Amino acid sequence: MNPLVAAETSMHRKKRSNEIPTKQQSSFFQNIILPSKAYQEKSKLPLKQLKDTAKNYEKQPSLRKSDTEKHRTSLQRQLSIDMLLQGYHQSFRELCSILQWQKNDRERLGAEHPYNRRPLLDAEVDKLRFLCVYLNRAEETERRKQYSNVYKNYLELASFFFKSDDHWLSDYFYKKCLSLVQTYSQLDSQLVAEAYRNVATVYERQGNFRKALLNYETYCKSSEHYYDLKTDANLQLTRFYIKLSEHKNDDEALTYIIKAYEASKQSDDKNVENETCYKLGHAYLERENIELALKYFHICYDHCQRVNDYEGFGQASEALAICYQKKENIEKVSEYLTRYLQKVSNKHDDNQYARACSTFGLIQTNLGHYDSAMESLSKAYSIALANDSSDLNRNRVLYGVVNGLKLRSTFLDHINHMKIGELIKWKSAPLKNAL
Amino acid sequence: MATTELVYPLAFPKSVVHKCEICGKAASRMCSKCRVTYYCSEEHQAADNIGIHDKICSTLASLRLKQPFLPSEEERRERDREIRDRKIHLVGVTRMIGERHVFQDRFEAAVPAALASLKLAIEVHGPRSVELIPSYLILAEASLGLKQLNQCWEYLSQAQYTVLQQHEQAPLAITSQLARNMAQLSIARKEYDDAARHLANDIYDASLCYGTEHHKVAGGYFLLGKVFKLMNRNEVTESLYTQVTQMWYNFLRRLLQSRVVFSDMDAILGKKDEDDEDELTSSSKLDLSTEAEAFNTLQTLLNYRLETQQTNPMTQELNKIHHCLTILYFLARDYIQVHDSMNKIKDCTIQDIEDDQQRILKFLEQLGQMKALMKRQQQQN
Repeated sequence: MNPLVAAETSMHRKKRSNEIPTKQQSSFFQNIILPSKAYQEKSKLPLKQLKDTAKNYEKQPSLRKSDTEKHRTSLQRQLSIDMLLQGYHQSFRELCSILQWQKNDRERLGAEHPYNRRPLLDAEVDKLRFLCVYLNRAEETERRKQYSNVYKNYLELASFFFKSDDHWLSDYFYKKCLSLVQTYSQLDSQLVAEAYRNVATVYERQGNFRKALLNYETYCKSSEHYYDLKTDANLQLTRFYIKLSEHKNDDEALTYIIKAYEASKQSDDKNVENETCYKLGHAYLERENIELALKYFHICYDHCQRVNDYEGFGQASEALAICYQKKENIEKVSEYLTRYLQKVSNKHDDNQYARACSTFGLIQTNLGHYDSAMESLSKAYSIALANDSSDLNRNRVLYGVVNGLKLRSTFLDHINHMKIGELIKWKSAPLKNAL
Repeated sequence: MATTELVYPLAFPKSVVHKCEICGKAASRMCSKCRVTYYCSEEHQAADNIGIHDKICSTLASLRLKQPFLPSEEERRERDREIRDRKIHLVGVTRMIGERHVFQDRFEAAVPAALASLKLAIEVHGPRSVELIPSYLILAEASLGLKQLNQCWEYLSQAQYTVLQQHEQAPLAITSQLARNMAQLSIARKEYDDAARHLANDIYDASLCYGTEHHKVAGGYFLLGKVFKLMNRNEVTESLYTQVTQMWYNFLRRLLQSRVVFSDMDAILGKKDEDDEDELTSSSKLDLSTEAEAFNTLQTLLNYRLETQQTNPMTQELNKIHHCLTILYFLARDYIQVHDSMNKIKDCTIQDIEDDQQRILKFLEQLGQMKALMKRQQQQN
């Protein structure tokens, strides 16, 4: 072999095995010789590895222009360009408008608004990609005129953003679903009904009650043929009417509760119907319309008896007792209350029992039967004390009141025995002195 | 040519060597009107005259003249600033004329115009500025039209290099236009993927710069539609062309509504377009190059629609295109064509089109009445 080549290769091939292990060497060796260049040259890689690295480097595919561009550009630009290359220009325009809308909103809200702390959409990679993918799919299906698929894609987008708490986007997509449904009326009516429901929830969350009401009613109408949706619609409607009635006062509230009751009858859920019935009864009671109130409370009462719902039964009995008391129909009052007490005492449900007793006591107090009132109220109080229930203060007060009332007669007698004349003299004395 | 004058290179002072406007060789002829433009041969002079010299002869005379010495520094600065402003204005004018030539397929005339704009721009901004790029782009388009692909590639790479050399991002309008021209070159070379990539960049930059619904972005969409058609993906082309139609339709309708309002007297007195343009805002102007681009695009769209009418009749789209053409003719004051074009619209269900037509007809009526009135007055006098 050529001596020069031999020398070169031998220089490259030196290995470390000839060297003494580092620990046993002097500090001179460690500090000066080890880091020196000559020493490192001696222990270079073998020739084969050198050749291999060169070959591997050549084998690597060089980056094409599009790849270098990918490294230099922002994510938004990259995604937009991909979309345009595939021909989805509508999705590109939607994306642009959504991002612009978010930026304008942020500017409008000012710098201190808590929304500003959440990152801008174009900084969140997953959401942006998801958005692009589904927008592309929606556009593709729209071109092929498969409108139900378009609807499904938008629905996916809306639910994704709903889960990730981006309500501004999910609301936008729910509304889009609805407009799609309204323009292309040959879609499945189930989808139509769902669209209305989603939009109604959107408006409810935003606080726009009028529009929410409109949409809930349309939901009801459009879900007439589908049993599940119909019950759901009526339940939503009931709930919504009750919410509305809480916000408003006087007559409008009453009309809302009546509507709620009718809606709850349409849905087959008896419990909800019962509750609404109870609320309606209370509404009439507040407006001193005792007849109607009684009617509805009776319905509740019967239903609770049938279903063995003790709490409901208790509430209904109480309410009935109050009504009859207002009507001054004393026998009925005591009848209902005693029945209530009996039923409840069998069950040993302490809170219910305490409530029952306290109501009974209250009624008796109003009627003037202080002794029986005291009995029941003392029971109620002790139970409440033992259980540390929320009604404790109420029971305390009632018990105190009845004790006071009972003692009132003795107090009055006592006063009568006292020297009224002297009292009066004393009372008028300062007047004389002043004059 | 009537305005030519022979000059002798040896007669000039020692360091002065006048070069031909077009090719840069030693000049032997001179334009006798302005006396500052030199040519080497009759053909070059004729070409330049058709292209641009006709229109800017007088302006060039005042710009290229040797300026007398002014005593005060201030006056000199004033004068320099004034000359610079006029040159900038002239750059704009020459560019627009060049673009118009390109859109009307008169590529040989476009070259002198673009060259003139380039020279002026170099004088004003320097040889490596970003401002030169639009001139390069017009040159590129012209050479593409003349089928000189290598020449086109040279101009475009020069432009691209200038963009890359900039420290900060070049203006988006310029990068978008550059990408569009590169796409056109790629289409001519049948490299459709590259073309699509360039167009995607173009559309993105233009959307960022002008907004996603602007008519300038429509050019990018139009070319992208063409590319997809050449790649045989016709459904994409269909949707893109619909989008382009919609964008031009919106733009032209807006223009129409702002224009129909202006006073009739201007039309009667026969004022030229330049005066009107000064009064109106730039958003309602229809400058020459946009007009030419609109014509071109709409013609192609019309042909496409007529082709696909057997398989996929979209009468409303066709009507929209006809209506756009109507508005264009109206804005160009070509009233005969207006009537022709309006008659081609059949079964129109879009209310807006009918409203616009009513307005146009009313306007034309008023115009006719005023003209009759003027004639009578003239006869009386």
